[in-house]
Amino acid sequence: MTRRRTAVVSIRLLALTLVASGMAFAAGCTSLPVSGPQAANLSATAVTRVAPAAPWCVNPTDSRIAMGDNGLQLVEPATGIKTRLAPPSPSALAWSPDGKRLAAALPGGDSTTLAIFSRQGESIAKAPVPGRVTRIEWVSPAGLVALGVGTRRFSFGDAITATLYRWDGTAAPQATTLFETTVKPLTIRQWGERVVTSISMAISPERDEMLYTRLHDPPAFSPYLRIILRNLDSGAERDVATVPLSSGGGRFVGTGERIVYGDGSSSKLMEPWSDKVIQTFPAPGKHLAASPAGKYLLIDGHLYQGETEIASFPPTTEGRFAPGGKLYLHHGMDIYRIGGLTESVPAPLPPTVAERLRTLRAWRSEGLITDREYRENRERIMVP
Amino acid sequence: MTLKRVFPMVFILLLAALPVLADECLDCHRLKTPAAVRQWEGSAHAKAKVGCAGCHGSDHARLDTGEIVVDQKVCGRCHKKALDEHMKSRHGMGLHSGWGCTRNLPGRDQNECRHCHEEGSDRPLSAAHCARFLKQSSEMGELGCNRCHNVESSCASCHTNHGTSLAIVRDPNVCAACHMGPDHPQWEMWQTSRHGTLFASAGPALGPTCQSCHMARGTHNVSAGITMNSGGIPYPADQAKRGREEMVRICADCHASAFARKELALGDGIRTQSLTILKEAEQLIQDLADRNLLDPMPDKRPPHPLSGPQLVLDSQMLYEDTSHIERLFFKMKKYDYARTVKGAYHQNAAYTHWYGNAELKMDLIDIKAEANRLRERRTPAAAPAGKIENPATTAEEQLRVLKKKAGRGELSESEYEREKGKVLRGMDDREH
Repeated sequence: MTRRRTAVVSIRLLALTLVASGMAFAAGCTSLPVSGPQAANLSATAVTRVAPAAPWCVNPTDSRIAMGDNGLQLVEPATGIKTRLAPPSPSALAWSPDGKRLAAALPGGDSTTLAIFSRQGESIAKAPVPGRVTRIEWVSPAGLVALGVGTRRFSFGDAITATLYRWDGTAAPQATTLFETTVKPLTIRQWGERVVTSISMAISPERDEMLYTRLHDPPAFSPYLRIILRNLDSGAERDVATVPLSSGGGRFVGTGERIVYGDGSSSKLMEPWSDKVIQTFPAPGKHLAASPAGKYLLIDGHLYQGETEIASFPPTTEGRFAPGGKLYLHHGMDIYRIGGLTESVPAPLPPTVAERLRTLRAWRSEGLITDREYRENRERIMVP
Repeated sequence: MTLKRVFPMVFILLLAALPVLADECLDCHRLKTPAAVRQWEGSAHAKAKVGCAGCHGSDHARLDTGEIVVDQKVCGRCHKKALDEHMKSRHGMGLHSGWGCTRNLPGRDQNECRHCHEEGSDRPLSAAHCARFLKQSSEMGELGCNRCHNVESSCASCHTNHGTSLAIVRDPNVCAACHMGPDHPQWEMWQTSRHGTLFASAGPALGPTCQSCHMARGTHNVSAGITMNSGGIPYPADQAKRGREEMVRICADCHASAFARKELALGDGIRTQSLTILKEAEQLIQDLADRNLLDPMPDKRPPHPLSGPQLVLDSQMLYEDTSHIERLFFKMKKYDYARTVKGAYHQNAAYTHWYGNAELKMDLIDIKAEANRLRERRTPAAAPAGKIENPATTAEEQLRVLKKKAGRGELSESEYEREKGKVLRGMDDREH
């Protein structure tokens, strides 16, 4: 446990400076630079401290923060009290959509332990998987997927295997190979650890589709990533875009019919099934987050509402949205809660409708129906 | 003396030396292979003083190990025109049509590579492969496949090894060694056709032989005048038209061209009608496969040697490791369709009708009955009591079937869209 740090700062837009010098936190805290037309309406509260690049996530119901810093720790936002759940620092974390469970990937030697904890931090289930798990996401109240990346070094380069693990917390995790590739020694020297961390994964709001990046390093060419949209029910994949290794991959936006991704020089909001680009943002897209209803996008520190940039934070700021317009930012050694944003929470679909749409999406992914047919049928199904 | 004068003299001297080389071989081979020697001594080769070494070379050690083979290239050094014609014909791809790459199969002879590859090259001489060959044991491949399909590289398969008698190769019996049996009984068809019976009773003056029509005027291009591939599928129109004109010219040596065209047109009509029947059966089986109703399905049996775990109904279809209905289709296509069509072009009434057409139509009855049986195994009535089929599962199966049909071109774009709409709306109805 650590002492509570509750400095609340109202962010004020100051002349042309990008640094809100008026923001100050308790001793030991850094300030969160902010600018932009609506910066004055936003507030930032330092919630907790966490090491740079450490995994963290926010419980969607009670805002409890799980983070991997000196072990797996839970932070009570109201009191700042930290509870240590496991000694190893996790490589990936995710709260379940209902906020009742926490999934963690706990590295240990050549393998990783997938673990599920209750909201209070009690261990519920554990299962080992080979290699290193870099991402973990919930796909149902009791089931999760994890992205494993295995590396074997040879004289001619590194053989990299990306594996998707599905685990329901009871049986052994089921593995599906997403891709295998060989990376040249030169690429390893130039990109180092980023070769592995460039392989990303994001889950759709309905949790039946995922975006992941597939690494390619052909001889005589520069390495690059392909953003792949995969339906988790059918296993069918769609090649969405080709981007450089510096890309932060893709994120689903709103209902999941749109995605945002960075191509290294700009970021694009697009409809992946029609390849239609809706909007282009002047930011490379290394750090991306989208609010649950799609009202806000955070791209390399630029906070957009629709097409309009409403505030700007440092470009390396990592963001996580929670339902209701809650935004948490990780900058430097601190996690901040940003106040002043609002977003209505979409009403959940009736289970039968959700199931029908899920089936239609699986059919669309396999080419059994077209995107137009999916949209027409969705409209018909959604009519009460 | 100029070089131009020296070379012919050296060549003549070498030719003169060949009998001497032959004599060297004969001393032993009169004892070891007396029949070969006798045949050679009576051959045109002996009269022309082409000795053993002229074809076999003089490296006895390599001859003993089988490294030196007298194939079509050796013959082609002198018989260039015949070899050129042969290579243009279906005989010229006899091995290619029968083989796939064998290097990964167990128990294969490394020397087989030369059948498909130039030495030192891994590029196949032809893109054609044969799945049925790849399923065979080495022994069956050698005796049951290669004895006929080696016609490409072995002139001896018709001409014999050491004889050169034209009487042998102009006798239709020489063709019978391969062109007979259930899949392509051309020899039997000819033998019992008007052409064949006249040959039997009145000789070649009245009864044309295989060679009269298929090696007309001595050509080695046995495929001249043909309008379909070996599986009985018509050539593209331009190619077929050229073939037809060639055949009419051959027929016109005995018949009026108009008569020949009319007779051949009868064959065309029968071929078209038979293809329609064959296509109906093929679509039935594809539909069953689309619905996972074959027993066993391709992914539940040994993989096809060329296509893997897929349904194969084209010229590479197998007669083993398939479902029963595919076995019925194999007989229908490879035996009965072939007999109907080839019987028609050979003007053999019985083969066209009773051995061909009647069997073809009865095959369709069998295939339809088997298809019904397979479908009935999946009807709701046959499902376990209380088990209700999920509407989404049913709709998905229908959508998969439609997608495959559209992929095969059996549905137009608009038909495909309309049928999908019906499935999706039907799903709504069932849900409500």
